[in-house]
Amino acid sequence: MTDPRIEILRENITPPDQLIQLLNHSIKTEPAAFIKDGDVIAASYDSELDELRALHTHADDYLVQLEQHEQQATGLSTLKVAYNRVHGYYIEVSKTQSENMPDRFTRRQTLKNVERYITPELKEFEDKVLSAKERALSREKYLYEQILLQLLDYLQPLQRIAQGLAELDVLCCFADVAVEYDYVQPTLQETPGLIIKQGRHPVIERLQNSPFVANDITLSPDTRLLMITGPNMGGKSTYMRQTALIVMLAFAGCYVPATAAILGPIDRIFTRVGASDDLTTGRSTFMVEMTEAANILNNASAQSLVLMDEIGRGTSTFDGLSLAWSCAQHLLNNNQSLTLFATHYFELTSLADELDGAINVHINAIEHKDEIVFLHTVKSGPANQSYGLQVAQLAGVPKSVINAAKQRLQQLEAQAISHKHTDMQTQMPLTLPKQETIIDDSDQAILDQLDNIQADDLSPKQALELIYRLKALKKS
Amino acid sequence: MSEQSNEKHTPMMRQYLAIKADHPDKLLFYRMGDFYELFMQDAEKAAQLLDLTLTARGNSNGQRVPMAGVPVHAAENYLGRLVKAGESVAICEQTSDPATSKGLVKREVVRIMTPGTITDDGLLDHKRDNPICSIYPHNGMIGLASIELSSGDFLLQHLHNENELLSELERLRPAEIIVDQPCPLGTLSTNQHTIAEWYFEYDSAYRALTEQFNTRDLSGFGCENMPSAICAAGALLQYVKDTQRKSLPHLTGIRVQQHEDFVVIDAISRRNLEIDQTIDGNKKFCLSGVIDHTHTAMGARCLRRWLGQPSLDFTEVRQRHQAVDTLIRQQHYQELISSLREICDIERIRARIAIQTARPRDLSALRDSLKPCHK
Repeated sequence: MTDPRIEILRENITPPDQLIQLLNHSIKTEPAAFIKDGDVIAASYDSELDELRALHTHADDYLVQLEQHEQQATGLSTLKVAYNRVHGYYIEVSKTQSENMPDRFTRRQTLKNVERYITPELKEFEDKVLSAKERALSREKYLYEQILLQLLDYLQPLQRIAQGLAELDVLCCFADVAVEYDYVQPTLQETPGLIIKQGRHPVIERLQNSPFVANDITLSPDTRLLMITGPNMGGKSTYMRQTALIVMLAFAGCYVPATAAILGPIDRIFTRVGASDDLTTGRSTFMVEMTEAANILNNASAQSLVLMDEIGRGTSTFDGLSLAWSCAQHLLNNNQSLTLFATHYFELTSLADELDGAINVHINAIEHKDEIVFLHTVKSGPANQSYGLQVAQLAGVPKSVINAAKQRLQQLEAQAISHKHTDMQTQMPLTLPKQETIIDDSDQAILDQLDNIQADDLSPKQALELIYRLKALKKS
Repeated sequence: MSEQSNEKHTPMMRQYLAIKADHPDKLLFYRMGDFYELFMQDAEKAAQLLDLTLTARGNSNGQRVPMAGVPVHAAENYLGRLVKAGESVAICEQTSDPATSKGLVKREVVRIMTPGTITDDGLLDHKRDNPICSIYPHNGMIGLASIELSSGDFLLQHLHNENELLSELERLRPAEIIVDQPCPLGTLSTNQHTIAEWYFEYDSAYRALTEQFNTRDLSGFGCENMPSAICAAGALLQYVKDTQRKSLPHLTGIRVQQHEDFVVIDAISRRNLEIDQTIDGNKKFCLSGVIDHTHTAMGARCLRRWLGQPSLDFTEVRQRHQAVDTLIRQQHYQELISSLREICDIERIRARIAIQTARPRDLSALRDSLKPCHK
């Protein structure tokens, strides 16, 4: 291993010999959980403790000897020495044999089948053993406190070891992630901008079952603003977020989900995404949105990465569109930040035509039999339509509403074409013309029936019956 | 509670009330034999938070005294729940031997547990730091200090406005915030503890810091011209020492945060990008949740620090990339990973050694973890 960083870390995690020795010699292999229970300090660490413990351990031998001795002396076969918490050590014989017990045994307790006795000799032994136990416990406690104090000398090496292990662990984690998830080493460069080839969203690609659609991105001082259009749900915000997350991973020292990545310095990351009412302070969605936008416009630099998602959504169309336009213009010309600007205002795509440094890209989707298929690929140029109605249909909005919306859309588009040579933004009608063709539910039922007819398969009689059914539907 | 009315209390309640008077804003765990008891409002609050039975104890001052208690052997679990709920607890032990002392047994508060000053393994999230911060706005600048008691990291910074403050707080996610007066901080407001203004007084704050670091002045730390940050740091240090009732030998210096060294991410963007948790609080399906393949608690926390604060020090970042490359090429990391699995949380054991609360099994775990590192 010749890597300089890993060499240093390996050096750092080497513990001092004395520390290892201290811990090895002082603490039992598997100590008790609490020092008050004893059984923590290892044998032969402290001679005084060893002696006290020996008294205790040898007690068993002594009791066996005593039992044999007294059995022989009294000739009573049921005699035995025992211990309980309440009465301490005692000598016990069966009721029948108790009549022959010599007087030097003092009666302690009478049970149904046995009598219990004590002798002065046993009493003396008990005092010695019990006090040895207590003294051993307090000796252990004292020794433990001394060890803790000694360990204070090793706070610095322990800090170095902990830090070294933590970093080694993270570097192994990065290596593991890179191999398992197919990440690539990013290249850092001093010139501002970023190029990511086939970038992926690190979290979403792990959560979804279908393969993730990877995308390229290039931002530089010359091409610093991408105006992103395309259908809702098409992946605009995923594309923007993955760019920020790739930057974060790279500067954290990790590899990144892409096939190649070249990154210049990024001083700050700003995001203005989603809209949620700030319930805690009672500010409205629009107020929150504008506060966040203000922060970005006031603070973003030419080395900042700015993600703007659907700015201006929280207010009326004209207000929103105008604000979005001027925000984009300010970011492009004043902040000169690296900016991803996603919008559903198709009108903003002309900004890229008018100003240097901005280009249009769109997220691809195709229409198939009146339904929408999201391809999630980023293509150059503006989106040709927003697919809002198709998305609404996917979401389960009633068919009658979708149809009404389609009609309205056609009218608006017709008007927009007729005003083509005037300023479209200001000429967009504020009040909609009177509608005469709104379809109600019974009409819808008729239309549905018509949709289902396979005209070529009908016999003349079936066709006639169908006309009667349709008329009946109209009446109802 | 006036002296007059105290007179009518039983001697034990008088002792209780005297101790409680020093800790009005904390729950007082009052040791009685094998139980910690809580009385009066503390009892009512704890009964509600911990689902304890609220009983009453005898008569004192002509009234039944509300009481709730937890057995000492199970106290850790209850303490953990209270601290997680943002409460602070003062633990009052019997300090004279009941068998030998005459009359009322002596009692003393031996330890204070607050959300940001705990070091007990069972009460902490292993994968996340648990910092405590202190904020002191002064002369148009905001001083922010933070201490991570389990690593001994002491960080200081001077911030220019509320936006910068919120960004740092969102990154640090402190378990507790110390202020001299309540500060509007949105969702973080609940973790605030207001402490007396004198804690933040410059001269005493400065003295507290030089005493702690055993230095003549603070010039070596590069924070001499950051008065409001020094006030915040001194107040924080004194508060933390008050809670531990012990010296903190592992706090050996202050680090001044240089904002130009890191990619700055404001509070809103940090939440939006779902770095350490999703908007709705899920900790698994966020960036750190997906990337976390670490095998030690120390590594998990370090990973979150690195992801939370991407570095602009290209030399450092390139070194990390280089190291990852070396590990992959030599396929050495698999072997390293299997040895890392066995390693305990040395960082937090070290903190418990520093405040002398390490338990026997901390030391045996430390020994067993250091052995494989020993050449």
